[in-house]
Amino acid sequence: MKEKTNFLESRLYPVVFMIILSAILTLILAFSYQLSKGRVEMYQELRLQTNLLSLFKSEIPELNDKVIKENNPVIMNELYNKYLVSKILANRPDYQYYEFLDNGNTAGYVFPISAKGLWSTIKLLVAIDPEFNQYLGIKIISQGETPGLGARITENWFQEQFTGKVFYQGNSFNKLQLIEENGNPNADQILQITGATVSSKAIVAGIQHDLEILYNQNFSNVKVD
Amino acid sequence: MNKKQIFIQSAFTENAIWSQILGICSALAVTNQMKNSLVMGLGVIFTLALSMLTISAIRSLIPSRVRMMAQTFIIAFYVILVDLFLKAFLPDTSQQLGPYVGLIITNCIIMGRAEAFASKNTPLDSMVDGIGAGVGYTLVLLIISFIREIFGFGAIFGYQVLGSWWTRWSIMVMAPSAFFLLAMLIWITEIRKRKRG
Amino acid sequence: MEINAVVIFFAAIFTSNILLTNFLGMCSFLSVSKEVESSFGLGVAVFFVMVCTTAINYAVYHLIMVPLDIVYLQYIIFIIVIAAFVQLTEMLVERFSPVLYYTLGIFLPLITVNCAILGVSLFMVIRNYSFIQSIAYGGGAGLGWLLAILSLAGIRQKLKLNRVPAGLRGAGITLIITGIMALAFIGFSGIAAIQ
Repeated sequence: MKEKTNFLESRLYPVVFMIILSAILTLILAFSYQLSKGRVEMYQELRLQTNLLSLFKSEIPELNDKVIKENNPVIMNELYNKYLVSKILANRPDYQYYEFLDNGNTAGYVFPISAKGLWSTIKLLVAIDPEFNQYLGIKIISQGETPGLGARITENWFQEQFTGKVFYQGNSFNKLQLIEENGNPNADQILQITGATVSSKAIVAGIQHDLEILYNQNFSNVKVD
Repeated sequence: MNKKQIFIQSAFTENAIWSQILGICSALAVTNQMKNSLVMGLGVIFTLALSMLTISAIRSLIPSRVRMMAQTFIIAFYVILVDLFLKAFLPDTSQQLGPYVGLIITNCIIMGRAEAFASKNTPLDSMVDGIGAGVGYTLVLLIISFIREIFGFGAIFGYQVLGSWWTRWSIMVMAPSAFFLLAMLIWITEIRKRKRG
Repeated sequence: MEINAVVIFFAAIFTSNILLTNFLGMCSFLSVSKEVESSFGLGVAVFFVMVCTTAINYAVYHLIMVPLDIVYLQYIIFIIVIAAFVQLTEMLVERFSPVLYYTLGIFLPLITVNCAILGVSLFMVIRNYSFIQSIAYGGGAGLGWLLAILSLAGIRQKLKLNRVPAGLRGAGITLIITGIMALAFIGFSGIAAIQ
């Protein structure tokens, strides 16, 4: 008993105590991390699949708001395998994009794109028709813009504006313009978010910049004359 | 003091609310939606309850020279567990909460309760005290987020309760409103405290 | 595409002030902001610690945590780095510059529990900043915090001469002033749009 008290008061004891404490805590954490890892990865995959599928909501008969909300991993995986296939660019082996298949025919492409926001790199998916004429839709995947201002780019009305806008017309790229949030947009105009000009601009510029490069380098032969 | 008294004292008395208001700051940013506030509050209750239990259980073993360090370690341990849980089961909420889950570590309430209560009392009492402080904290968060969400979005817990006729107050979604609401809450608490003498 | 570090720096000071929009570092903000002088001392200390710990945490995160796949331990590791850095600075300052120790040193223990410091490191990871961007963000956030606490201390000194409703004295009126300051800072977001 006496020995123990002495050890508890020795100079070494705090060090030993901290080492034992951190060893135990870290061990438990490592164990729980391993347990949760599989689930986290599964969710990430599910989220990607759901995002990809919801871009083609109007073209996939099995998919409606209810199915998206339920977000059943099995159903989503089934639909994903049926309608989408991931591909890799010939000149950029690390870049993965997706092809949307309707009865075995390519009915659209989806490209992951990053745009330079005010605060953060905004990551989004852009769907475009197989001939690169018009956008089929966009989906913001992650962003770190100011809540209430720039973060409003995730609101549905903002994202839905891109659907049907022209990307390539005649022999040149079509430029989209930004106008005030409460304005009346024409076919080539996008309503920007009040107080978040940078975030809105970033998305339009990011999409056009990345898609133009992709088109020029890899897809300039998709046009059917 | 029995367990019930401990709970009430750390959750609902004016002094507790006062310290909760100060401790709330790190979570103010998530109070524009009730759902996020609730998840955040539950995370804090969990962290408080279990870290108080642990700290109190090994309080005679913790060397005084590294007491703060050891307490921080234990708190951080439970916060990481909360974080792993959220990532695995509520991935969307986890993404929305961003860094604020991690910031539970620096929440003054937790360190305060550890110093003031858990290092002097039995493990079970400390746990009850922790849960009490956490529940009070969650209530404050929910009150603020209720006001912000209903005026800012016309919704409660994400369900639209006010129709499209409702003009949303963007100020309620933005940061300043949280400061004003917190000030109002402090005002009301102070008035009640004064009346009781 | 990289975000310009200069933009991050100024945005962290004005449009997205860490205190006024992210509510980080409020505890010490409310308790120390009574005097301009001590506010300045604390602000400078926060700025210094923020820049240094962001740099160290960046290195620790990318050189140790990512290769070892222990990113999930980031909270614990970041807080240890911050606590150790603060302790070390305190010892160095005490030893080599007693004058500086008496003006700034007393604030150092307050800083470990300042959530703004940990917050900057966590935001850096979430936003995936590069090293330069992280330093710019840490510096901007630190200066922004200093700016916020200095202006509040200035206003609070004037406030001593005014009559405030009894229940609002202290934290209440301070929060209202902070709210008005936050409103004013929203005005800066117009500038960011020009870049």
